[in-house]
Amino acid sequence: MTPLRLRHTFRTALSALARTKRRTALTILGIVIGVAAIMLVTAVGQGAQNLILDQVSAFGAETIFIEPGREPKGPADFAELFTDSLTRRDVAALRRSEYVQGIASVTPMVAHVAPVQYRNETVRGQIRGATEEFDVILDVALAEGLFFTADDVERRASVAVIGAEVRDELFGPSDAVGEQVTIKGRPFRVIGVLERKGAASFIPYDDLVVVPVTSAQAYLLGINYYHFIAARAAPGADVARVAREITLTLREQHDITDPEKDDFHVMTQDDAVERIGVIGTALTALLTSIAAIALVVGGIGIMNIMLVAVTERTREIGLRKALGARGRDIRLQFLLESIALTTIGGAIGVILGTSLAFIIALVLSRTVAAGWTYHFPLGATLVGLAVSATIGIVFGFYPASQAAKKSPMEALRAE
Amino acid sequence: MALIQIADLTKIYGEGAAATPALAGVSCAVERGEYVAVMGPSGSGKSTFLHILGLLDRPTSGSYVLDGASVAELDDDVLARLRNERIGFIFQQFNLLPRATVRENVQLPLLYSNVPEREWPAIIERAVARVGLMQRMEHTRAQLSGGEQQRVAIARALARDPQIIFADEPTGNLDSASGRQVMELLEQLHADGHTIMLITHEQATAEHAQRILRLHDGHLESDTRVAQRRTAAQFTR
Repeated sequence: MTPLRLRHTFRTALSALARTKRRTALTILGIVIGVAAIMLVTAVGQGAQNLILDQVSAFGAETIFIEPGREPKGPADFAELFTDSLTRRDVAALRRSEYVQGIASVTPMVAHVAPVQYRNETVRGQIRGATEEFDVILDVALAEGLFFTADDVERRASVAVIGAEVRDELFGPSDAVGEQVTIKGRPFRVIGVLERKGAASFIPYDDLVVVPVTSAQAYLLGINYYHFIAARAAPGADVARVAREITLTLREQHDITDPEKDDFHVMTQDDAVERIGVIGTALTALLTSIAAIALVVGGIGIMNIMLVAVTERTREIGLRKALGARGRDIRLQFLLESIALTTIGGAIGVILGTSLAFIIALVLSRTVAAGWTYHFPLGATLVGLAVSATIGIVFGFYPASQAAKKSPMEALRAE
Repeated sequence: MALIQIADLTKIYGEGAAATPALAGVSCAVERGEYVAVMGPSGSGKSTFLHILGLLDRPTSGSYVLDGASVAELDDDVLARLRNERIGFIFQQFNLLPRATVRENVQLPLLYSNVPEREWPAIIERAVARVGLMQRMEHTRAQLSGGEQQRVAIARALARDPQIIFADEPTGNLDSASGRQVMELLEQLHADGHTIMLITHEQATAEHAQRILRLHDGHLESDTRVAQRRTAAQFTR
C-alpha cells in the first residue's frame, strides 16, 4: 500500500498555512494566549512557592509553631484561627521539662498593626509582642542599642525595639535610642534598632516594632491570650517528637481527649513546607484550569477556520483524490495542518509566557522580593506543547474528516 | 477482453420525485489503445459518464469491468490506487495547485503512489520534457500561459504512465495555437499506446479520435467510427 509521505504532506500543510498568514496568525491567537497563560501561571506560581519556602526555611528546622484553633483544612476552618486558647499557663507547662523534653525555648507572641508616633511623624508599625528570645527565633541582629530582657517581659516594661524603616521614618538622621514613641496613646521608650533586612522577606522586618509580649497584651490589645507560640527544639532533638509532646501537653492542659476537638495546632517547618506545597498546587491547578478554558475557546476557533479551509479548498481535495489520494491521505493532510497550527501557537505561547514570567521575576527581584528566583518551567513547556498538539488533533479531526469524506467528483465540480 | 466494458450503466441523482437520471442505461466497450471521443450537448450525461469511467463516482446500477476487474466490488481505497496507477486526468480548467511549481504539480500523483522518492526527479523530468516545458520546471502557475498550464496538467497525468487518459474538454479554455499543441500531445500519447477518452461538445474536436460516442439525455445515441480523422495540425476552434 501507499507509504505515508509524511514529510511532503507536512510541507503541504505548512505552505497552506503560509498562504493565509494573517488568518493563520489570528486563528492561533487563542492558543497562544492560553498556553502563555499556563506558562505564566506555572512559572510565577513556582517562583512564589519557592520564595515562601525559602522564608519558612529561614526560621530554621527546629522552630515549631503553635497556633490557636484547629489545623485549617478548608476555608471554613480559617475562622477559627483567632481564638483565645493559648495562654500563659500553656507556656509555663511547655517550659517544664517533665512535660516536653528537648525544648530549648518557648516564645509566646502577639501581633498587631498600629500607628506609631514620634512628635509629628507617624508610621504604621507591625507591632509584635514577644519575649527576650525574639531575636533568636527570627534570627535578627541589633544595629543599635539593646534588646529587652526577661525582666522587662516580667514587669511589662514600656520599651520597644524598632525596625530600620520605622527608625528612618520617625527619626531621620537623629538618634532613636532613648527617645519615646507613642503607640495607641501609650508611651514606649526605644531601646534598640534592628539591623536592616531589606524587602527580601515576607516578614516585614524593617517595619517591626517589637515590645514585651506582656506589655502588648496589657496596654495595646487588652487580651490575656497569645496569637501564637514559637518554640524551639534543642539542638539534636527530634523535632517531630518534640512537636508531638507539645501537642500531648497542650491537650492535657486544655482537657481535650478527642483530637478532633483540638483548639490549637502545632506546625513544624516540614508541616509548613507541605502545606505551602498543597496550597501552591491547588492555586496553580485553579489558574491552569482557567487558562484551559482559553485553550478550548482557541480550539473551537481552530475548528472553525479549518472548516472554512476545507470548503475553500474543495477543488484541491477533488484534484488530489482524482490523482489517487485516499480519504485517509486527505484527512492526514488537514490534520497535520491543524496540528501545525496549534503547535506553532503553543510554541509562541511558551516563548511569550516564559518571557513574561522572566520579566516579572526580574522586576519582583529588583523591587519587592529580592529572594524571587526565575525557574524555566520545563515540565510546563512540554505539557504546553503536548496540549496544543492535542488540541490540533481534537479540534482538527472533524474538519479533516469532512475533507476526507468529500466525493472526488463533487469536489472537482465545486467552484 | 476489452479494457473498458460497461453494460446498462445508470446514474440517478437525487431520490424520489427529485430523482434525475444522468445516465439511463449505457452499454459499450473500449479496447486497449483506442482513441475515443465522447460527445454530447451539456446535460447529455457525458461528464457523469467520464466520472464513472474515471472511477471518481460510482454508478447507480449496471456493471463496469475495467481491465477484467468488476469496479462495483472494489472499495474506495482500491479505486484511489487504480486512479493513481491506471488513470490520468486532464481537465478543462487545468487544476494546477496555485502556488506550487511545475515540478511540485507533476509530483502530486507520486505523493500518493509507492514509487520510491529517489526515482521521482527522473520521472518528473521525463514527463515535463515530454510536454516541452523543461525550462519552466520551477515556475508557478501565475508565471505560465493557459496552454503551458494545460501541458503541465498533461505532464502530471503522465507521471504514473497511466493506461487510460481522460481528457475533459482539454482545449475548452485555450486559443487555437495552444489547443493544437494539446491535441498533438494527445495524438502522440495515443501513438505511444495510451488509451485516450476525449470528452468534447465540438464535432471538429471529436473528429481527432478514431471513434465517437454520442450521448443524448443519458442514452448512447450513436457509436460511429471516424472515416476521415483530423490531424492535430487541422485543429481549429
